[in-house]
Amino acid sequence: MSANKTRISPRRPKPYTFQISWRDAMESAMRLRTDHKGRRYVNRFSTAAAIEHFVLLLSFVILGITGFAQTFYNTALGSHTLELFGGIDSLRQVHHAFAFILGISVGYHLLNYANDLIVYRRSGGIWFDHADWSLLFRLGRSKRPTEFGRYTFAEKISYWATAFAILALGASGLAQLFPIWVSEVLPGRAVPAAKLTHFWMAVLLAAVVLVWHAYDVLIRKVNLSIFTGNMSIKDMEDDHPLELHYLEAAAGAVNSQDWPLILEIAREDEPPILEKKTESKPAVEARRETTAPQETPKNTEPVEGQKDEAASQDSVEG
Amino acid sequence: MNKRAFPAPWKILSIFTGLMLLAWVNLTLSAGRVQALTPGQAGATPTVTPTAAPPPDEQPITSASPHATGDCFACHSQAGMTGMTKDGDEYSLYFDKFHYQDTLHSNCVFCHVNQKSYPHDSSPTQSCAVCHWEAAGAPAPDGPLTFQLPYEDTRAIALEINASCMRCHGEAFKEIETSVHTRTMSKDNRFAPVCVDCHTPHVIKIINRQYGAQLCSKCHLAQTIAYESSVHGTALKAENNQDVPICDDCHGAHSVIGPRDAAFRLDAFEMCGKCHADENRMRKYNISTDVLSTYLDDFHGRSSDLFGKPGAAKITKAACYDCHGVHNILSPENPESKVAAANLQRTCQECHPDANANFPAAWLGHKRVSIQDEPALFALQLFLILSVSAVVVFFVAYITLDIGRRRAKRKAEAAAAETKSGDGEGKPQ
Repeated sequence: MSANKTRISPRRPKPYTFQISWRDAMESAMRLRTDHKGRRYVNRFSTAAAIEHFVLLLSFVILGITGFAQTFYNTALGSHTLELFGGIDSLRQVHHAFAFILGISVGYHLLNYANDLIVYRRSGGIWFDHADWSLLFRLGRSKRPTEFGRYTFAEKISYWATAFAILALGASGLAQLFPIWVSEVLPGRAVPAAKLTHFWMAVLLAAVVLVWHAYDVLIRKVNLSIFTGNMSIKDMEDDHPLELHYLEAAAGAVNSQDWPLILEIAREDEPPILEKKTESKPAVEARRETTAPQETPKNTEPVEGQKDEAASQDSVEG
Repeated sequence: MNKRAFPAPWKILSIFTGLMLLAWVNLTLSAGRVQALTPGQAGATPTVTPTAAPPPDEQPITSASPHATGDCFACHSQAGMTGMTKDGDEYSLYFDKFHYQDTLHSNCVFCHVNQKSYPHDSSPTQSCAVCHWEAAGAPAPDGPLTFQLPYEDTRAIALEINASCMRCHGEAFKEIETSVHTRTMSKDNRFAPVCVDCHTPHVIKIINRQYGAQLCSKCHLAQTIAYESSVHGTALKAENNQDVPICDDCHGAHSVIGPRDAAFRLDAFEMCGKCHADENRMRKYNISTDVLSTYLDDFHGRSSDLFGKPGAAKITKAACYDCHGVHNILSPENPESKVAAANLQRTCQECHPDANANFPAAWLGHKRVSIQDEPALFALQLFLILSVSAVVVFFVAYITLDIGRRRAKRKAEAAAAETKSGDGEGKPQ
């Protein structure tokens, strides 16, 4: 991985390294599936994750409606919503009930993550890494997008912004619900501060979901994999190429006798800015070695390579 | 036969004249003994004070019979004329003609409907004997003329007369229908106030503010005393300040809402806001008019406002008077005030028994979040607005760039596909 002196943008990311067990390999093999028409797809999310996301969506919608109806109660829409919910009392009860449900869901999510982290030794892929800062594609200066693994940059932003907003909303909401407990440990002004925070965090969450996440999963591309659990190989190639490579590599290694196995998934180089030459022999060779036989190897030129790959995938899928 | 059965007209005339003469003599003699009621106390338990002689205007009946003239004053201007209810209550039937000229009304029988004819409807027959004692074979009356009245008690008289008001003042009656007084009346409390209790009978006048402030004290004495020591009552009493509210400004004149009614609590902020959100009125006293909007922006106010909307079940949130006091409202600068800094925690504890010393600070004291009043909260607000705006700007910019980049990519792919198809490499279906 020595830097090429002729290149002005020589940064080459280290390959992703995974220490996988036989269980991970089996799981990967089970996630690579084929439907009744022979089309390959990947199972990305479990039913539990789908239910969790549905609870999140439902509580987001109900909490948003009941919350903003209280803030903008003087508007026609706000007062109609209040009537719809049978008045402020029942509306508040609905708001609190769904906040509680969301709280349970968040608790489950954290426990589930702790289980993944501690028991299964999986970090989940939601943490930011340096690929996320490679926004050159979005800035229009690169010819190909940055490759992502399990979660794309947009998904990570959605997740962390939502997580931050939900925690802030939960804390400020509880502070408003139990002002006396709060004033026992904090100055009294913490309550109006919580009120301000609650409103602006709700605005933030609404922006994250309705602008950012809606663009990402509905407008840019209709991506319902969180509910169906599944994603086509084409979409995986486009959005989660590294995860696909990992799954294929891990599934290909399932017959290995040497556990735990160190799996290396090479990443594409950072897109060059001033020089066209982008070939990275060691990385591509490394991937060839680790990926399953059915994996189409990367071509030398990224744009052309991807297109060929997509075309061949299309022909496979019919 | 005919002559015996029907006496000659001269005989009738002479008997009648004789009776009239006797009556005149009797009345003249008894006039010195007649005791007159103090004017203006009609309807109340009469305070009997001896008086020398009736005023010159109240001439006793001279020639024409009251039965014939239909002139109420022919009888009722006699000082000391008294009625007796079935319960034994005395009721003055005397009426000062001078007062009558001052009132807004000018026709007795318009209100006293049952007294239109003479003898009055349903008057017991023994009342006749008061005048016609001789015909009844009774001794000459010794003392004031006391008539038996066909009423249980004096309250029954007030209630009967009160019904007459409706004939002209229907609108006021509509307002009264929902009032707490009418409700009290419907719970068999006959002493709940009716028209004549506030608009005193016979001296009916439009109630002015000074009188109005004391009117309610007839029944609500404790509240009146508390009001008189309040910031409002003091201003009215000391300076005759016309800006301060009197009883009916808050409670309503006819449609008096019960202070424990939901409607009263719900509208409380409008009631106080009527004056306290009025720039012109408050400027004189250097009182902020933000009090209403800041209250409505906060939890208590917003709840009160929202509880007024359909579907509201319970109204438990603090209204203005829960913190500031009901009748004994004092200026917040007054150390005795419920909202003075030293008393605030105790005031909060009325609803939040566990409120600690920090708790009152959760309420901004009708202040807006501004750099002068609340610098810390202002900084937080500014930070939140700026950071959320920055995030939204980032989202929109990123999405815009992404849309542009994807479009460019599609174009490039389409161009490449055309080139390929030109080379004879058709894309397989």
